[in-house]
Amino acid sequence: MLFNSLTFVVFFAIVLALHYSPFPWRAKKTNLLIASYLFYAAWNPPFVVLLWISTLVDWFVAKKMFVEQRAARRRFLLILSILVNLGILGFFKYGNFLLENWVQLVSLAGVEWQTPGWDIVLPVGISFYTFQTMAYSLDIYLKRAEPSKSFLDFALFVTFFPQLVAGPIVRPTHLIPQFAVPHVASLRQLGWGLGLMILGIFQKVVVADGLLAPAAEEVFGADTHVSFWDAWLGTLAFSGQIFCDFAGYSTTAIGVALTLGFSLPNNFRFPYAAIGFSDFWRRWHISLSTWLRDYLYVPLGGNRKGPGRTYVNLMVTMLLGGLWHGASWTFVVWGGLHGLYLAVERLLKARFAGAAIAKTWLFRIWLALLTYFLVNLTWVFFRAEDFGMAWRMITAMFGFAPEDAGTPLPTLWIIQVVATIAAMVAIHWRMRDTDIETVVQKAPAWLLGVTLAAMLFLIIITQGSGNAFIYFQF
Amino acid sequence: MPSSTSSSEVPYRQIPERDWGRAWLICVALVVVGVAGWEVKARSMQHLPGDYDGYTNFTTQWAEERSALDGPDHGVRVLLLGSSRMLWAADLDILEQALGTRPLQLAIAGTGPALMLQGIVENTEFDGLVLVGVTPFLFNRLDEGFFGGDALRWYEGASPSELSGHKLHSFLSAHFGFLDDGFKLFELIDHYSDFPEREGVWDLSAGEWKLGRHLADRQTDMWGPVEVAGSFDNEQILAFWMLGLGREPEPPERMEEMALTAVEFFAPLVAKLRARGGDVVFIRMPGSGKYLQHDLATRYRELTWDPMTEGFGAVSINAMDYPELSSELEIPEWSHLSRRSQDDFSRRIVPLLEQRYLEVRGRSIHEIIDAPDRSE
Repeated sequence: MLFNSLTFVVFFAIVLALHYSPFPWRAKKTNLLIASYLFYAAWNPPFVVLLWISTLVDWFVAKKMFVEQRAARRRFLLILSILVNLGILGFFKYGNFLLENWVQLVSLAGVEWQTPGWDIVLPVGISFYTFQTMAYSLDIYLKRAEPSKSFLDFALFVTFFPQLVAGPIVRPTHLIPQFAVPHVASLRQLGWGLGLMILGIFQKVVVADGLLAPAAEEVFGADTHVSFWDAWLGTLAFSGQIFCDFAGYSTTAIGVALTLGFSLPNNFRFPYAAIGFSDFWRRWHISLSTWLRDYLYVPLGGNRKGPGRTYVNLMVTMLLGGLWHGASWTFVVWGGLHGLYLAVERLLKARFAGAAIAKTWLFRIWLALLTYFLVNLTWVFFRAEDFGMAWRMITAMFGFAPEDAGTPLPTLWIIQVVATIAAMVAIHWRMRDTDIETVVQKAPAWLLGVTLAAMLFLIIITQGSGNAFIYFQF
Repeated sequence: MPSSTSSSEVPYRQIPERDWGRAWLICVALVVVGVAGWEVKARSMQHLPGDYDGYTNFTTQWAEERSALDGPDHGVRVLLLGSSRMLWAADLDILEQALGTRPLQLAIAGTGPALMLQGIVENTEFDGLVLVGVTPFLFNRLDEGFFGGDALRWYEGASPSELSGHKLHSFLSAHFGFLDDGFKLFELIDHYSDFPEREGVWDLSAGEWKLGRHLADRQTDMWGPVEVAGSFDNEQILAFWMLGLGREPEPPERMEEMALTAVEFFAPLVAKLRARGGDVVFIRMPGSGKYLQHDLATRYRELTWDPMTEGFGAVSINAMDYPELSSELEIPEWSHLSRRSQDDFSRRIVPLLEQRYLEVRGRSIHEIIDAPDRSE
């Protein structure tokens, strides 16, 4: 079920009504659990079974692991949990990819391999809930947390509908305690939660789908070279589209949870005002970057095993982070580029730490522009269907488009992209060292009302076309 | 060790301390006023309630109608297949009166009837009459066309959320005129924008247009503003048609090949339907202006239509042979009938159908239409 759908409006109204009815807390949680399963089943009912498998396996494994004292036995239980979770993820998400690569690999050796022609449907949001539930087992194994005492709370943690399919990926220690004691929203929480929902859906429906998607799709859908300007405009459009699409989902999810009385963490902090790549990853998809840091980079040794190993750990983390997004080598390159950027940044920081120029505002602006420029180069690999398209885009963006390159973007869409991206980057810079709550805290009620009305009105008249959020496929 | 059940680690969100009741009151009041104004504007531009919009018509509504044939008690005796010309040419009420039974409208814009007819013949027990509208060239596309893929996907299995979304959208569309594909904010901006363009750039205003009103039962009428020759909306559609009409005419060999391919595809389906008591009638739909010129330039009739209908083994009617079904009718944008001409066409086609069927088959068409539906 999409947040930007009429079905969700009705679903959400029913969920709210039930949550604020005079039922016992346990009944309210049961309502939320059933609602979460319905929310997921609305796409493809049989895939709810995958949620049940993950829930049951991690519940029992974590309980056993917590009381088990033998290290080997604990490790076995952890591996069992990881195998089940990553096995499901691997089959549904990477099955076709692995098979295709296997066929290509053996064909290099002159072997003609006949594939069985799998037609695997990708369950929506599988990467998100797999990581969320794996965090539970890993926390118990690493003795960072105790297991939940309530199966109902744990099942709700795995499936909580606001963030089930596209995050934020929430830690068990952040969410399960909220289910343990009664939570209903205060009027302020309800008002602000609804406001965040409007803001998130506005980002998705009006900005991502309405203002930016047409230009991005036109350029990345071209089957020939496009000009320098069109390549850049298409890529900039995509940089805004992917942000507003994904941050829009996260903001809506946070708002929905808040209307029910629950707090979810921020997933974005104005990333296009980042100065450098470690700063970027503290602002972009924060719940994934911290997950990768805590459950992959740190266990690999992080920066504790010398410079060489640190760079390897960085690169491995980012390559796998890229692969997490999709079963394609273009995503691996996207992750690899970010790993490379982080490694180079680390190297330069170590070498030029304390240089006076690094503290000047002019240099910081230059660094910020460089960061945004390099991030845009990575978006090309993220968005392109294949390396041929990515290569055509990259060559055009560096000024090597052929003379007969296409100019597919109409003037109106160019205006839309330039105005929207300029506004977006300006907002990110204005908000770089603050947060939306602080800004709203200073605004008068009438201004909030008018702003919310403008966004809601634009959502309604844009109508939307029910486009799925981009991150659902990850 | 931190606990999964302890709230000590929960990062509770900061909530702005504002007068949210007042803010939301202002918001709701402004939105109600804004939407009411937008609705008034929509209606003033002839975007009226009850119009389910084109995409809904060609996909979700089509799937609903098509599903009716899968049930045991559908009672449907006449089907309409084809592309948009058949949609815009059929007034279902008039046809019901003339035929004695209400036809099921299964034509889809931009889509040939091949896969749809195949699905009905191969996968249902339908044994009534199928009227297939033939639009030159589009008819000869034996693939999913522009909307066929989406229509079949909806028919074969939409998700529960898609189905509920469709129901809710249809309910609201019956009451709000602004809920229309042609009145979406960015469609309007594209449609009415007029900026100088670089060479070779797609003309946005020619790409976003509204041709019809899409009502219950998939009754489709030409949209009022398009009926006015020379109007902005009429000109936009002509400009769009010209994008396709500007190409080189197909060579004769290609025209003959299209006929052969169509015969190979359709003749077995006609035979199979006839074997179980039903039949198919092919009706070449009228066109005018540049479309007609293109048909003449490519000799569609001699090279494709005639050999095709001969090979089908079916009754056929070429509307271009009958002035009352073609040149006497209004075709404001060269391809589709106006609302008024839709009524005329629907009234005039049935007697001709009865006459032609009797001539070719030696029996009345009503022997099929009035026969008890064996699937009941």
